[in-house]
Amino acid sequence: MTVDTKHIAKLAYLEFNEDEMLKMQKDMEDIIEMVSSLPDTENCPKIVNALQLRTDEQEKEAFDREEILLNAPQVCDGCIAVPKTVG
Amino acid sequence: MALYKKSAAELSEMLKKRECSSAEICRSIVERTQKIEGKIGAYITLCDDIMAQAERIDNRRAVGEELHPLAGIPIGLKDNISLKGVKNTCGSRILENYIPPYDAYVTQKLKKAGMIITGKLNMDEFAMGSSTENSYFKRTANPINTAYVPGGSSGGCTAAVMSGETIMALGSDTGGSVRQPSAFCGAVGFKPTYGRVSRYGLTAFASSLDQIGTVCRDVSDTALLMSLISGYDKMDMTSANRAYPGLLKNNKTEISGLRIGIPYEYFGDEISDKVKESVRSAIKLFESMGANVKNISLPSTKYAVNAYYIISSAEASSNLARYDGVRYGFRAAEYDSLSDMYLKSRSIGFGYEVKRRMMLGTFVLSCGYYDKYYKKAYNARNLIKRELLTAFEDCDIIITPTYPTSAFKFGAHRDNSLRLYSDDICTVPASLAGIPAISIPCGITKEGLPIGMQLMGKPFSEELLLSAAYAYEKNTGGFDYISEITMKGGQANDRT
Repeated sequence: MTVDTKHIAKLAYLEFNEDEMLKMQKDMEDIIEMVSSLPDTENCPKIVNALQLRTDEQEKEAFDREEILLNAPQVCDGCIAVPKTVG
Repeated sequence: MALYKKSAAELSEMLKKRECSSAEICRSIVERTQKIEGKIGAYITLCDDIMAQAERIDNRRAVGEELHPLAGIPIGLKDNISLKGVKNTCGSRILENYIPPYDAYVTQKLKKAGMIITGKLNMDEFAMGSSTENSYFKRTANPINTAYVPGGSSGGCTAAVMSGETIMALGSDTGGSVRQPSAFCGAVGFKPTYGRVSRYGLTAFASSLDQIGTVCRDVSDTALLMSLISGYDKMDMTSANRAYPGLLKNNKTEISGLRIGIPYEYFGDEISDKVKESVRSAIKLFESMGANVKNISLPSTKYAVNAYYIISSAEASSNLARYDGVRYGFRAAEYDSLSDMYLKSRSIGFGYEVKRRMMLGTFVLSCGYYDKYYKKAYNARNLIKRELLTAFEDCDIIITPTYPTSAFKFGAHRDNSLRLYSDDICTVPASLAGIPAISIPCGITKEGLPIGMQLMGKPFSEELLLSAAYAYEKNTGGFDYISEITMKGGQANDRT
């Protein structure tokens, strides 16, 4: 089957040069061909969650602002800096 | 015998009887690491406070404090398990400089027990791989023969434990990443039931499959470490709220009447003759010990690899969307706009295998393909789980090979990476079903490479599984912890 690798790359926020794109195109087609053999599940009406999730409230942990900012690539006035998005 | 060669249980006894100190154990580990790490390449980060940690524990013992049996024993962590203040790279450039501001749940448990954390161990990038060749930082060699891979993705863990660079390790197992490298290096690798060990602080790959597992030199050590890290945790939504009594307290070697299922589908043509022969000999030994062996069939096994790669890649594409160069991790140096910054940071920061899985995951979740791939894979997963649980009505455990082959050489699958996917056939069913599984050594090839056998049990049957593995180990006369490292293959870090 043909895969629109460029479109998928765009959705995944990834870019490839020409050589990488050719390789990825072939890999994707090979992998998708391989994983296509699956049982016909027409009679399975809906996905049943295979896992049991808890229903109670999950606890959260709070961290120091300073500590969190230590990992930020760029900090400006105590905030994480990103490129300008509005004019 | 050098201290680095001993098991945790042996060292624990020695510490209790004051026959050695934790500082002496750690010195032995540090010296061993200094000597061989250049050839093995197990660590991404070696802790610089190992001796200080050991001295603190020795001081506590000296004043008569009652300590946990694992207090003072060295342990390494896969580099996707958070240790506060120490880099957690996941083997990826995108997290090269990320320092977690908190300890994972399991790390908290180790620290509370007074274990000595030796460092962060190499892995395939984001745990995606079967050879540790996908690490951005270095390659890790198999300590039995350095021309061979240690397996993966927890290859740093198994290489460190089996070369004497640490005594035990915690890894993660999404589709076999603890069990397969354990088989390749002659270690005991255990993946517990989904929900038994909190994943708080484990970097997510595929959340419905990820479990933290143990890498040890024998079954007793596995039981000690599993007993320590099991437990309910409110920080993990999938943590199972139940009692976790200590494992393997009786050291029973009696397994008379144990019902063992041998599934036909795990002994197909893709499994090498030597692996089949070794596992079958091991099954004969179980039979001679009084077990009832029964042939069974699990026909949906043929869908397991496909379902696994679809589901795990779909979850990975979602989990790894968080790496965008904004809040932490790698940010590209040059970009035109915010969206270009995301694009460039991700494209430079991730390696090829991770990109390939994110692409596959994005595809199977994309418009028009969800029903054809993801939904079918999820239903196949349910079939596989149902089939396994039904099998456990007539069997106590199921025995299979851990992997179709023994360790392979570096670069062996460079041109056929799909083969690496399909070779996960023996380990992915337990992951999809969320059941516990252990890999234990059961033979050796003529090249001297270890072969692993997998024992699977029903959910939360860890005690039974470990008892069976322990009985087998004792009946074989015990596993060889650290064979002399041949180092035939040259330097581990000569990347090709």
